[in-house]
Amino acid sequence: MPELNSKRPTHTVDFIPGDTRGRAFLGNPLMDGMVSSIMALGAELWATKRRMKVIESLMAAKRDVTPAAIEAYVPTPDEVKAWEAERDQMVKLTFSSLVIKGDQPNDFGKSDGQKG
Amino acid sequence: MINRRTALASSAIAAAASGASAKTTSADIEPRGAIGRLERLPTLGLESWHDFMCGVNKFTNSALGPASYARQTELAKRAGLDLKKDITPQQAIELFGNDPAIRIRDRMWHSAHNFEHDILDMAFHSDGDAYLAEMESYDNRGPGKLILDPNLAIPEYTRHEIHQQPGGYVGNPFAGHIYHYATNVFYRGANDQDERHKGYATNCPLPDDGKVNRILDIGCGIGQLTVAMKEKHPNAEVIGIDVGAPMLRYAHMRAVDVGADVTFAQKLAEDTKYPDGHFDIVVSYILFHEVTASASRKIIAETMRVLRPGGVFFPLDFNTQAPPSPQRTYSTWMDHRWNTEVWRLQHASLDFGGEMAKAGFAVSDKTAKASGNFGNLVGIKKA
Repeated sequence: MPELNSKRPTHTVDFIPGDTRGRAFLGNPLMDGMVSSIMALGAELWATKRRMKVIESLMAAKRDVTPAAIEAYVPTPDEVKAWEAERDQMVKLTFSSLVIKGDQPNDFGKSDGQKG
Repeated sequence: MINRRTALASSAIAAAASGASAKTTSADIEPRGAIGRLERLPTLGLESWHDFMCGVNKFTNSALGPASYARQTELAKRAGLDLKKDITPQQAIELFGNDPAIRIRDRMWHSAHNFEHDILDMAFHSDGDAYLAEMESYDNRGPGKLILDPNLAIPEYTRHEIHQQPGGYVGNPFAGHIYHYATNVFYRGANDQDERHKGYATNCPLPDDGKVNRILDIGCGIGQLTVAMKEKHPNAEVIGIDVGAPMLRYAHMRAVDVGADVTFAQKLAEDTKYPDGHFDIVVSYILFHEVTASASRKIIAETMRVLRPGGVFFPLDFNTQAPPSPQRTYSTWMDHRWNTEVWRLQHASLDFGGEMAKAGFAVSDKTAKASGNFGNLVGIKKA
């Protein structure tokens, strides 16, 4: 848990930590780490793209493009729908190679039929 | 009392767009306003990360999940298993545990879950003093009441980091905040205005005599069902109880914001200390799969005690009598072992309706389904 810089009462009690973090689902903890890293990078990229969309919307509306205006911007219903569709497409493009169906070929190194 | 959330919904949007604040007190934190009753996350960046996790969750459920399920089905068939019977968790692990199509779904799900929890935990802790000050400013405000019990003996079984939430429900001062936004990932926008909980409240059966003076929501968490029950039954006294003080503080804060006059009290569901026959309706939402089987039996018995004759018990949770299958065994075990749903297997082993019947309830499963995911048992305390 991050550090809390406050002297106010928290109304908490001791808890029992879980043991699920850092476990290897994919046989090699580095492989698991890579998936988590890619996900984090995807989140960062989406955050950047979404911020660009906000800026573009403000500019299109000829509104002031200030940090406060960017933070406060509320997408229109049409924008919400369009941005979600683009998000879903980005997620699909990024992760669809991980959708595995059927038996996996294991023919690396076998002859591809070329002679010589 | 002004219902700030609905009254200001459109003006909050306008106010947010103009950079003005919809705050009602100086301690109230909503730098980006609210949309209806959902306060927007405090920064665009955090909101965008959260939005990405919603997308990942959607992809995991719609693409990786079906691929995993299909692979489990294929492997089970090859092993000559009956697809309509459970297997043991050990059998499930041996059969499914090393297949890439199955493991990648689990990996993606966990990575997203952990990422969402981490970014929320980080955000609320980084401005922790202000968020604690905000809750303090609400603790003694109405409508409604918040009653915390610093002397309550918190049972060990409640202290786990259930579903991997950092600090669990009792150990993180921002448990309510984290729970709210992290569970919104699962709802994927379908519960931003508590729509699901309103549906559950609408579908909650009433006592045959129609009298609803007092309602109890046990294991109320952040109070979404509690408030929904109050909105459905505005003339009833509605109380939500939970063991986690941080959850209750957040619940009370939200209820004040929407103008709901409900009481949130820190109590144990298995020992409420309310009088016999005190309530007309007792509800719960996804409580029982997070308590031990022993506690479940005690809670059911306590519910029987505090309900008046003819009163209704409406516990919404995973269906313990769902059709068995090897895939169900695996997903239940995964949830138990790797999602820190510590008591999930115990819950799955119960015949929950049978336990209600043993406690003396007349049990029915013929009510309107509140949700496709959850069992729809109803218990009536016999007159």
